[in-house]
Amino acid sequence: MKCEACLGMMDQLIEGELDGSLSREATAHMAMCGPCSQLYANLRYEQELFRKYLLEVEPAPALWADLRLELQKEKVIRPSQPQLRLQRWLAIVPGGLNVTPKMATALVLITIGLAIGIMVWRTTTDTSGREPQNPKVAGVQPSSEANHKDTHREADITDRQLAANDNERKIQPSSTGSPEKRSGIQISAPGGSGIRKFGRSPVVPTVDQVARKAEQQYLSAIEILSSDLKRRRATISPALLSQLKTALADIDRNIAATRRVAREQPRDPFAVQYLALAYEKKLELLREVTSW
Amino acid sequence: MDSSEELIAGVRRGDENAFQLIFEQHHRFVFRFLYGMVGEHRLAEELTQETFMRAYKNIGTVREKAKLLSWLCGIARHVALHSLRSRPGKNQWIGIDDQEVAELKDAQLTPETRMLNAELKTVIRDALTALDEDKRAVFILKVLQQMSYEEIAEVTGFSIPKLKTDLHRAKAEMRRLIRPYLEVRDEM
Repeated sequence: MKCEACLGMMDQLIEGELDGSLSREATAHMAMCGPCSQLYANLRYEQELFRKYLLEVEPAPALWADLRLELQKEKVIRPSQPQLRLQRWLAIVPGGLNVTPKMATALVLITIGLAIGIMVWRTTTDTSGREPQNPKVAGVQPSSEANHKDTHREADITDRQLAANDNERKIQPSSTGSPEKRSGIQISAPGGSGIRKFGRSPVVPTVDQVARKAEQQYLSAIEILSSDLKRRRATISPALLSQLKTALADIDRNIAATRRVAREQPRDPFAVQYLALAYEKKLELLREVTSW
Repeated sequence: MDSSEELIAGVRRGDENAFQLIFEQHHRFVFRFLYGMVGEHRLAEELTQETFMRAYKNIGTVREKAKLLSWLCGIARHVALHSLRSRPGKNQWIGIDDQEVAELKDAQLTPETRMLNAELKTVIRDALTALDEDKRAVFILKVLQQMSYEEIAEVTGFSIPKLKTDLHRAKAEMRRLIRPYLEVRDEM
């Protein structure tokens, strides 16, 4: 093969579009020909540069949550099963029941009766809850003899608390490394240090409340690290400082996007997780820079 | 459930998880294609979202289910073209502030090298923006995302000879635009 023929095939060779025999011929020629081999190396280098340009860009992790929200807004995605069931009920109840005045009166009386019943029951359970039945119950398994009497009620409370704790643990930001080096943020369960308390059950915070609390903690940590960074500013080269600014701006944009989704879907644990991840990324970057 | 056929069938039944899987499998490819087309990170994200919205609504129209990615890229291309044409004269909006966080991860690079890399990205982005839309799409799909000519023909609807001509011209143009930069870089 001559140089001219080889040069004509070079692009196809790089693209992988050259068939087997021609590819072998071109490769054999380049093994013998310095200029062709050099040109081939240059073209491959260019190709890699182009590819790297695109491969390094990553979409924000909140993209799916964002898309899902848009689809729900346009009512393209069906709501979840519980929502569907509720919608069916709402659709059936007003039309399906033919409410007469007598029935309406009966319904009002039943509702009042139920309300009074619930209030009385709550009052009695609250009173018994305040009594120091067994102070050792805190931190003890519900199946222990000591609290056996109240097994049903306590088990119910425990389940609710565990569920709440599980929800909260889901959005705990990851924290690795020694506590001195990394100030990973822990969101403690209600009651602190994971000890379950019985008696008067504390108000179980919602996902949104926990998320906001976590966000506050993140912001405090970021503020501390940012002020540290300000102090070290003079020691960082201008080029690096410029890149750092860009990176922080990118992360801030991501935080803003994920926060918007989390605010719009306060009960969506995924949206909250993405927000926590975005904050964690900023913390990581700041930690890295301040540890230089 | 992970073949395209099963996933498409799942989406048609209203299975949101199936759509999420499709999204997980293909959104990076679609996003990068759109980023190459428009050169702006946030806009590329918005257009990726728009692409998948349209895909969800029109999932019933997929003819060849095995070619889901080509179909998605076809939608993405239309979305990108629509966006570019609805913003005439805004092809120069590309700013230097859209560099990637990834650069910071490589602690082995010197600040100078990192700055050169950032500059190179700007040069590539400007060069891509200078190409006309058809050539840009072909260049991204072939050179950057390594699709075959047959697949690109499915995405764009162009004939293979036209694709080859467009790609040849796009490459020549890209080389012309980035070579001065590469020469400076090689001298350092």
